[in-house]
Amino acid sequence: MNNVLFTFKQGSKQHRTYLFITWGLFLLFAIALPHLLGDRYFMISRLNRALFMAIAILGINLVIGYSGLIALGHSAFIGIGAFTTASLVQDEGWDYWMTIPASMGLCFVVGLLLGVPALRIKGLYLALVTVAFASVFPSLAKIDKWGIAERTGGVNGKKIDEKVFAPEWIQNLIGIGNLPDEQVVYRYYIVATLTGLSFLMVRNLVKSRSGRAIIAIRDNEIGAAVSGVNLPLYKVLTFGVSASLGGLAGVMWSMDRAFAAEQDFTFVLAVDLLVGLVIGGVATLQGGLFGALVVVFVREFTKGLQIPLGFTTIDGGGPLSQAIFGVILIMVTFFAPGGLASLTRMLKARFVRVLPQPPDEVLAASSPAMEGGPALA
Amino acid sequence: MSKQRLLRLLSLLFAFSLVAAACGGSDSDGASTETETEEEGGGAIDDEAVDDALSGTDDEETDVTVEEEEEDAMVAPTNMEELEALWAEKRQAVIDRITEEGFGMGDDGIVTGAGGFTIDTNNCPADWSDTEGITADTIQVGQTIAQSGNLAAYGNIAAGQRSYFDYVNENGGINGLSIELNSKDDAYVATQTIELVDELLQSDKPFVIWTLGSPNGLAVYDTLHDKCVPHPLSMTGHPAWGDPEGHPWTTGDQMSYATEAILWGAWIKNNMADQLPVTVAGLVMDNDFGLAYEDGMKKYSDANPDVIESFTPVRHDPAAPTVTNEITTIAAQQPDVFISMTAGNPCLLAVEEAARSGMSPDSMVLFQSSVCKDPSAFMAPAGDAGNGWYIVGGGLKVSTDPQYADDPWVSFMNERMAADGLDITNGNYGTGFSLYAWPFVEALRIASELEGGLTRTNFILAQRHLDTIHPGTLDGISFAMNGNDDAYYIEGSDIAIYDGASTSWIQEGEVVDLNGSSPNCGWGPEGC
Repeated sequence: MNNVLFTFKQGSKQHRTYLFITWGLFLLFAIALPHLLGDRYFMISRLNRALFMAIAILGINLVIGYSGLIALGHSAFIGIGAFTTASLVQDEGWDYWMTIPASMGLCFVVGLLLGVPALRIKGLYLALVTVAFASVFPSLAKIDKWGIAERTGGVNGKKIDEKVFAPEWIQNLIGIGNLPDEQVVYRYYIVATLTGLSFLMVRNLVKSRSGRAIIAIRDNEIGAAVSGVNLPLYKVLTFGVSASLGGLAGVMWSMDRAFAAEQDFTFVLAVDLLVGLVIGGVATLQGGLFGALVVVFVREFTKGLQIPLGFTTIDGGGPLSQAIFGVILIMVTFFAPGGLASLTRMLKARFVRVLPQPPDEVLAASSPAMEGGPALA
Repeated sequence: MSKQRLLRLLSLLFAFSLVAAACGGSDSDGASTETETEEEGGGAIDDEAVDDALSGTDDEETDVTVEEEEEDAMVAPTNMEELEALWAEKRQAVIDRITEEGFGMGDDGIVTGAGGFTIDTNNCPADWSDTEGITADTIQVGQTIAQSGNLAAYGNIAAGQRSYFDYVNENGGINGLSIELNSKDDAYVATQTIELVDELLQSDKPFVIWTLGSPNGLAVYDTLHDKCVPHPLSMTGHPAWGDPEGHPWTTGDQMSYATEAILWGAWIKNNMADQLPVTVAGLVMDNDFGLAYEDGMKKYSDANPDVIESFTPVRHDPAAPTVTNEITTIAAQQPDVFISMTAGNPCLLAVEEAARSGMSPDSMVLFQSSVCKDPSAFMAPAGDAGNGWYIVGGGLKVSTDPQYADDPWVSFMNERMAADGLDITNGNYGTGFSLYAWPFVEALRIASELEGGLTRTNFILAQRHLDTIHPGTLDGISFAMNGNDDAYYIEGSDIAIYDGASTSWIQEGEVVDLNGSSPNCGWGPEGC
């Protein structure tokens, strides 16, 4: 405790300065990141995948982490969002931007429908419904009836001819040229911005009256009902909002790849999202980002791994990559049982301590004249 | 009924419908009754020409086959030295033809070939190089292939390819250059293929990029075209690979699944004449591969109602551990013909489950798919249950079939792969070694002898004009492309019946070889 480098009083001027500097550095890093990677654009492409997976994990977190229900079908919502965008852009000539509300809206409605069983069933039974949804989605996407296969591209996938291409003034602004490969940098800024907005939205939601109601359902359902929380409404709405975040991830999927195929949205993706949630940290906002980065980049890392054991060499380039990835996951959960978010909190606590504001000062803080207290360290 | 009960019932119904939709097969019984206008058969051979060849009424075609057989018989090699000599002769013929006809890169940067084949390299990226991926002593080959996921077994194809490349490298390589294969696992997920191809293009910068899987290849073949990177011998039977005008850098290799479906129909027409029209049921793997079969059979069925009264596809989940329910459904319908339109372990399960459900060759005609021709993996384990099954075999010698054990190429291949520590009872290794790696090396050898040496454009020219005798195909099966005029290598097949005693596919009649008959396929949302 005595080794802590900085101690701030919550809400103090120093604390605000500290937050400003850390968030400023984070933003600067996020802006500079694609340029740090140089012309290795495929790395930026992977980064984009991690970011839209982070949004989907955020959606799952809302249901599993904050409302205490179980939702394992988000691979299907990403798929719905991706196919909706692909079809509207390719078949109907919509602009990519216009597909965001359409895809999120469609996923919201499907999410509401999927939330209906949550009103009466719980635990593993609810999990089964969502697992069934995720499992059946690839088959549904290639049904050769009612125009479904035409919209989704069936088994061969849906290609979008119109790629997301930066206007010339944006190319100048973000320092890229006119080559197709370079446009991934532009897409990174779009995906990163949407990811940031999604995190802000969910942060505001969980800190709002509705968010407290959702958390109350998780902590004590009967108690929440007694306190006046409308359980059916909040449960179903949570599913809907969560699904719409999955849909947003799907929009970004199609924006970034200009291609979507049913093989992309199998239950394997749903498991990856769940792994990302657990590794990142359940019921933590930043956990989704950490988890997605681990799922995408650690898996790639294991594929390039060569472990010489003397009598043989374990080659990560083959089927063993999944096994190596599994071992790493077990080690992460062993050393960071609360997820990487809790691990970073523990590490942060070694250097920075933020003292909570006493209740009387919280009340006084409503006064504009209130100034932050002095640093204690 | 109380509100709670209603909600509970609705929840149960919703969950049930999802599970039912996931597990159930396609019960479409309207396939043969739909009267919609059919398109040209997706890069497939004209079915009338197949009929003629199978029934022997096309004298001209038969004569060609016989002539080719006689020609082949004169030079039938008995050992590797003779095979090498034969291949060298064939390569020289291709080199002479390309040289004499003036094909190749012109001063204006335009590559020309037979039938108006053209590549304008002026449209390639500014930083494009015709020799990228060739170092002082290596040829870098990039590849995406499924090494994990449901179709991970196909990853073994890469090991088979590597085994042949090692043999070539040990024997001087391609004019001293060693072939280095860099395989990356895309888990058969098209989005990962896109990512990995980008990585290969931006990081490794290989000479060519090889892909496995139809959606995977389709996801990247535009990119590879735009970047002028050869995309050779795509490892699927999708017809889209026969598009030399729209996608000159992409080539296929094996017989198209659509052609196989037509051959099934043609066989039925010629061999079940007294029962026509017949009912057909198919066990369809619910992925791009199985649905290509289903689509091909549906088109044939719609176009030939006098041959096929109804075609009922029953789909199964590729990852499902059994196909019992699907086979039971089919058995209950008592079709005249059952076709296993699946791959991998479900092929064996189909044979076993069909026998258990009373579907025997005595009561109906049973077909195995060409990709399950490996007898040791898909037929022999079923014991007597496999006896009497038919196959449209794709014209290939399977490395695990005992009848080819003394074939000079197959015995060499098995010895070589065994020496490399590969399990020669697994047919995927042989597929990689023979079907894919061998023609790749032949095209490299030809390209390195053309004016300008080994370049990407010369390699594609060599691919597009390769006309040889593939040691892994049956006698009488051509292996040839011809610029824009012929965009497919294998366009023929054997028809064989399984003999459990010898664990072999015994060929029935002559092979069907209609080389050059498949129309090109500019793939789009509506097919070819």
